Amino acid sequence: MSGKRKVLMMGNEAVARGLTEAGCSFVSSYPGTPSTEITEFAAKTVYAEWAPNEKVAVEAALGASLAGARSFSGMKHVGVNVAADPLFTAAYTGINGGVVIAVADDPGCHSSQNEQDSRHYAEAMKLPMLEPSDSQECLDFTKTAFTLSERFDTPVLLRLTTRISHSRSAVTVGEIERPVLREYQKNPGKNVMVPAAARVRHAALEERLASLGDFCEESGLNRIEWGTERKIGVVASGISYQTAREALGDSASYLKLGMVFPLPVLPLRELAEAVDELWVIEELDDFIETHCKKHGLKVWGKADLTPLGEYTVPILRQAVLGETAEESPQSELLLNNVPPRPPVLCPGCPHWGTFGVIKKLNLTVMGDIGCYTLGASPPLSSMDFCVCMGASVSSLHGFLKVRPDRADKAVAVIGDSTFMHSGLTGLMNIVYNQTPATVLILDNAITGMTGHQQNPGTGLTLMGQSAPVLDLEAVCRSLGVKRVVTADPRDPAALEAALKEELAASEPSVVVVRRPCALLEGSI
Amino acid sequence: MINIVIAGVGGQGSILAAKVLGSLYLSKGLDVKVNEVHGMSQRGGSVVTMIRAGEKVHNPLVSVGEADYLVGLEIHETLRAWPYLAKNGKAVTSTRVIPIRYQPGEAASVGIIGGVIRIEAEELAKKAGNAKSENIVLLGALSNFLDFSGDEWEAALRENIKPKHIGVNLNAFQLGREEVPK
Ligand SMILES: Cc1ncc(C[n+]2csc(CCOP(=O)(O)OP(=O)(O)O)c2C)c(N)n1
Repeated sequence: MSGKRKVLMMGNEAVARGLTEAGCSFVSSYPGTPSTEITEFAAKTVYAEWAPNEKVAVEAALGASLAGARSFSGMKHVGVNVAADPLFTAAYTGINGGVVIAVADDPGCHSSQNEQDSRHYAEAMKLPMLEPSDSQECLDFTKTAFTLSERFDTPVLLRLTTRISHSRSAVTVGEIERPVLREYQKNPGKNVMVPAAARVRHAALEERLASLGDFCEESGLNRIEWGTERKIGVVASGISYQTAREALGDSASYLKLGMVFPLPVLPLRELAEAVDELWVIEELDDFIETHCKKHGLKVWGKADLTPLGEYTVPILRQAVLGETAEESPQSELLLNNVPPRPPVLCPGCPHWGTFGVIKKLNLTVMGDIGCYTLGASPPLSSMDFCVCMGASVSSLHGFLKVRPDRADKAVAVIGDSTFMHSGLTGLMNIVYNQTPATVLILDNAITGMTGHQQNPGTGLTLMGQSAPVLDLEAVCRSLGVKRVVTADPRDPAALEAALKEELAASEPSVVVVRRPCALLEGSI
Repeated sequence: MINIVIAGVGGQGSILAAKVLGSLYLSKGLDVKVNEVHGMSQRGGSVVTMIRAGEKVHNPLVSVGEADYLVGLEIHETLRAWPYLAKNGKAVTSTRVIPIRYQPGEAASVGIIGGVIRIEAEELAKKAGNAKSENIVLLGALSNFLDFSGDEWEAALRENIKPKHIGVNLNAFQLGREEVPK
């Protein structure tokens, strides 16, 4: 024991502490719940920046690694979709300075548009993935991830879930290592992925994966905790391990996995042979279960447990032990009496003005992701489509190609940060392939939904330095949009007039609807 | 194991209250987990924060029927979180009502449940010097049931609140503490 005092730390803060202790010196991320605070905390001790999107963030981290620095990027699960391209091939090149990529999944869709399970990415990319189950492990595993990254010459994924990222638990901090830059040497055979080199590196990747496979059989990251009985055995990681421990107690035995890719076989066999019933408890997909079955183990899992949402103690007790929790009749009564309170746009939010006009004109709305997605809920109920960041602009183009008669009744609605993230290419496409689309960029001068992060349009960096302000109107004009106008959502009459004129125009137009977020103005 | 649930609306300060409770139990040498809500729900939605303390805490979530204490920052949210309360659990609620807009259904009345301690937290917070210190008023009320000394509470408040706000919050705590007959 170091004798150091324990402190309560949020999982995300502990990851930030871990990367600081590991001597990481470059962090580039794009915000996304539940991952955002990692980078915000990191910025207090390490050079850190917000990139315009996750692909840029990961590529910047890869560049910093090539130059010799330990580097990091954090994102939510859907961020990996955007950053998948560099990651798949970074698995081939490997790294110079250690690279750790944190990926925060959101079982239960607390703040997300889907419930994808990022463990599949680890397997598809052939990148090792660690999964901590409390804040202490968030800190420790982040450091271990850097060590493994350099030992095996690979980026390492760190998987989090909402309850790990956003729970506080006791942490004993360690010493901070001074960042050192590894030497940089040009090495095209390893780092320039033309086909001839890529074929060679693919072989290297398979070899590395085999060594990682050997490593995980022995690694202390995975451990068996023997229970007082040998009836039930459980294989689990992350939050599912914690829920299972709570639900099934000390009588069950557990294979607690700290590494979820690659997965071991030996400890699984050892546990399987010792217990009567082996359960795989994992939220979302049957990732570990499939691995077990592939190795001929008889396990219980998704046949009795849902792939939807989060597991609770009662859900697990019911599935594994057949125990049903008693329902209090009062609960029913109360639930029926309290109307739901979903999130709503804040009082004074400029998006109210914009959607007021949109609703009045009864437009078809290709929506996007941000606070303004709340325009989909009552009383506005003004959204027809919303799938991922940037999709508003590109989907409006497709919609209008096949229904040109709707051009004067349909708009794309996208926030400033989202437009910079992935709206630009869609707008370029509208100009190039020519639809008379009308795109509304709601510029509230901040990345609102995720809790007020700076972006290229706000004039400040993550670390509080001043930065050039991106000129949205000029960007749109430079993409070839001839009709670019600016309107104020606090002046609905003028906004309505501008919108009508642009909807009627027979060429692409952009309306920049500009008014800072109400929380910025009033600094609530 | 001690289980506490704090129910409120995004922006009401449940997280600060939870952090104070977390510090208190940690300083007693117990294992602690605090589960918070960040992100989408903070945009004016229902927010439930959970504190668990004991020899060893695994899951950060309190199950239905398991909470020893329920602290409600708003009437509807107190009612919504009521199923968490254990049969012999204690509940303290603010009488504050934040209307639920644009949703079908009746506004709820706390009258339909018994045994809850009602605190005029908004009034007391204003009296303490800042209407936003309702969360700490309620901690003051709750403090009557928990096994910590006034000094321990003060230390935990100081650990989690910036010096420039501590005066108002210590007042708020005291006012809440005096509201509940011992
Ligand atoms: C690929 C991806 N990355 C991150 C997120 C998380 N996210 C949701 S909305 C949002 C920002 C929205 O900001 P902005 O477009 O400026 O709109 P505002 O919320 O300010 O109205 C982010 C980062 C996401 N949903 N998908």
